[in-house]
Amino acid sequence: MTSVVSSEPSESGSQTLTISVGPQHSGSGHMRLIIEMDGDIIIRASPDPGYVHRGTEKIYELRNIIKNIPVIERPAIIDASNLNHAYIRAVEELQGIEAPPRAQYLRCLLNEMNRITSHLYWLSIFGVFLGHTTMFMWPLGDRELIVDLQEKLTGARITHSYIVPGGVRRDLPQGMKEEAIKRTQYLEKRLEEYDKIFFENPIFTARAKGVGKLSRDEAVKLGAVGPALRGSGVDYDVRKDEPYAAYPELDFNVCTRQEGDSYARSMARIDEIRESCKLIRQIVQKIPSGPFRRKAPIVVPRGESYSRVESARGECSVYLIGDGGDKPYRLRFITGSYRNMAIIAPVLIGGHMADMPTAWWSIDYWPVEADR
Amino acid sequence: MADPISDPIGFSLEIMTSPLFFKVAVFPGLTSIGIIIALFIWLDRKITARVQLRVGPLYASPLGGVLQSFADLIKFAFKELFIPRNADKFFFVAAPVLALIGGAGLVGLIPFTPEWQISNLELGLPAFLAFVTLSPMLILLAGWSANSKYPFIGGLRSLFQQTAYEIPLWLSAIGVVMMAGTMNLIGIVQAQSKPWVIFLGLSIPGWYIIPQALGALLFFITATAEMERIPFDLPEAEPEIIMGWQAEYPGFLFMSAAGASFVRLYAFSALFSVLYLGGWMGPAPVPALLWTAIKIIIVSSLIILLRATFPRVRIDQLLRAGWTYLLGLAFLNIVITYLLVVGPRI
Repeated sequence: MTSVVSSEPSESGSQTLTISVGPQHSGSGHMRLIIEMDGDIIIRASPDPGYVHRGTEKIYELRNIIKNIPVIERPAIIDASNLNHAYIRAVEELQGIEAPPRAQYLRCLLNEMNRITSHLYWLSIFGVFLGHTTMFMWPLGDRELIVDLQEKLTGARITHSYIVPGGVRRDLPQGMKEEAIKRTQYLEKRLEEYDKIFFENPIFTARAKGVGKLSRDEAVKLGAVGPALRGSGVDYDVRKDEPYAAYPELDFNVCTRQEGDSYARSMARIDEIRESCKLIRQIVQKIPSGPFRRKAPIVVPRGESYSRVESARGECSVYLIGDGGDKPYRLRFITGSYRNMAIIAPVLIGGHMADMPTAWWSIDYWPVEADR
Repeated sequence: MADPISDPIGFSLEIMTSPLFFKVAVFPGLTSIGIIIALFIWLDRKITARVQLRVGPLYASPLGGVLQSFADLIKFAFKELFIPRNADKFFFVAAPVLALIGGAGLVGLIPFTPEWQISNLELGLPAFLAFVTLSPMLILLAGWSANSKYPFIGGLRSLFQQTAYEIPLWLSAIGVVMMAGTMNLIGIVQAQSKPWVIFLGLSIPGWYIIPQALGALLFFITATAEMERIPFDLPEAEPEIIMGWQAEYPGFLFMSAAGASFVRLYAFSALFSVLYLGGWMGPAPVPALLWTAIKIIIVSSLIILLRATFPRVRIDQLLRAGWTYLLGLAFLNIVITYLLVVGPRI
């Protein structure tokens, strides 16, 4: 028998155990974390991404700008429209056109619905990572309500390809307004039940509070984005700081928490679901009448453009270079998860092995989105 | 040389028709344990599903998928028995099988009624708890013999966990012994037959759940930790250490390993109803055996509901709680019991 414990002593003089979490680990996703433990304490952690790298940036250069839309959505199919929105805004900027106001509202409507479904998906995995099987099933069940609403609006449950240059693909269907108000109100009621069974559960607070600390300075220095950054008390949201689409006309709060631990990051997301519910109701009530799409050229003119949006996992930016053809000359695509990879090791080191799923998943790192 | 058996066929028939053989082989012994465990797995899945707004097993029989776990059992039995190359083969196979047998041994000590008990030991309660003490050793053995990192961590966790719950478990059971004045399980039930108070013609039964409320709560919590069920399933925490000590087990051995936890759920629910809920006692028209069954189902349903409502605790939190709150409350329970037993005499 060979020993499972490594023979080299660590700095503290004791023997350490190096374990490989993933890619076949039930708590890793499509990536690997190499973790070195001294007893039960993690002393070294290094993320090993790239298992689902598909070279999408090269693929974008080989397809015309319309056919690129489904490919742009694939890295994060649960948050497809936010990624698509960043791309279409870059294309429109280069083409020098702007979508009509009704289309801007419809884009925001789908973006907010995507934000809710993405956060609920995150919550269900977070629940099962903490061993709470009910919190695995409830958000996945309630997510269906919003997914059905997305289907009503776009015709597809996920990967809608709804946002196109010059507007959106379809107009608001009949009865959508009443349905959206009813369902978001129901979801807000369900969130109170989530609080009772999970977020106010003493075992959950003991597991999440003070775990995976990331200070405000460190979060800024490492370039964290999205709820992971706002959980450390930084008030940064592209929707507010660089408003796009219909967001300047809508009233919403940026959800921040000061503590910078797993609990703060998760609660920042739950607050965001509540804000998104309010936003959806505002949008369907305030949406202006008019056309929902205008004609747009099929080519990308020569030039450069840069756009960014706030996706569910943080700032998503697209840098596009056009050469006058129907395909992008170069498309740089940076997603929230890619930026958040930098904070995986800092939140894990110094914690217990049992805190690994809690701290790691509170970042909401989506390997497919990061690898692209 | 011993006397040769003059009539081997007659001798065998005599053994096979004896009441003890029936008890060991059929009820409350092996056959019934197998069937009841399958039903417990179904109950676990069904209750959890209802809490989670799901349906649970549905198709495997007209009666709400009650045959689902039998179907799973057949599936597991036909899986390839794959043993890792670096594993210590003997102990790797022996550990889960021994855990299952050890769990079944616990059931043999339970008096379902005075007649339906396999072994009526004078020291039934300590014998039961001593048997239970063995199971973390088997889990460590399983984790060590697999010679893989995650099972190893799971085995160590199981041993750590034992130090947290074992002492409060014994101390909370001592309260019952002090009140009953016996360690015999039948004696403990009979000691509960005297009505506690008679109020407006209604006699409230003298079950120990009332005077031993604190002890019962402690016993319930520590027993859940012993069964390794959520919130205390640290040795097999799936997202952390991928089923821990069970990670390397294939088909039939995995079924033994997972089934052992359900056998202990069955045995502990039965012991809880014997210690605190008056065992087989209840109003007359319902037969005694059915009362035991009802109480076992209620207790095990409560333990199953814990799984649907709580996340998993962390090992250091469990150890801290075990050595402070649980131990302190267990001592407090002994003091309260002492006052209850000796107080009236002073």
